[in-house]
Amino acid sequence: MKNPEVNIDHIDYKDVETLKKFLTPHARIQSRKRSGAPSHFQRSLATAIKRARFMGLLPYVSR
Amino acid sequence: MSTTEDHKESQVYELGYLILPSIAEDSLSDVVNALKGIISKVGGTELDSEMPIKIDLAYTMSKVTGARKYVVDDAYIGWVKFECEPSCINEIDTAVKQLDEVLRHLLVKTTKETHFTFAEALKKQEEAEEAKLEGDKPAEAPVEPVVQ
Repeated sequence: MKNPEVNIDHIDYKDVETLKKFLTPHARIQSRKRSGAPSHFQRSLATAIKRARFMGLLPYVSR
Repeated sequence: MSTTEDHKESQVYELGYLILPSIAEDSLSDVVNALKGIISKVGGTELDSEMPIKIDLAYTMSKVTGARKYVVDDAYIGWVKFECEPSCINEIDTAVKQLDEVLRHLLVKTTKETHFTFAEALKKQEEAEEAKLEGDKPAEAPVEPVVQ
């Protein structure tokens, strides 16, 4: 099922609510197969999630 | 030398920072002013900013300053968007690192337009919660006529 959120133009590392939609229950980044995001968005999404993790907005791991 | 001349065009950057929770709310503006002072000192122009707000961190962080070690679960988060020459970025980075009040900082390239603020996000979240509560109410209302 395609995620409607993939049509966002700009993704910000501070936008935790949007980023959370692209995490698995273990807080790992969803694969492109699962997120249905185009390649350019998947790349910027991964960068944004990694930045958010560094700033303590998202966890690195979650059990 | 020619390469530095080629990069003279200014670029928009964003400085995101976490401030230690032990800092009193009144003195937060002093820390923010210190950060803005660093940017203006190297010739950067501020475009936009947001005052720090307190958040719960996703994991425990620690910072050692001198003989003290801070282990924190919450912090103040804020950001400043500014324009400056790429050659000034290293200077800003090292200056911010030396501030004892700053737990962590992140310097990233960004666009001039602001697409996200914490204030807007909080407002949206509150509205969504209210809508959810209101959405629950009508579901209970039709129960009464059925009872009659």
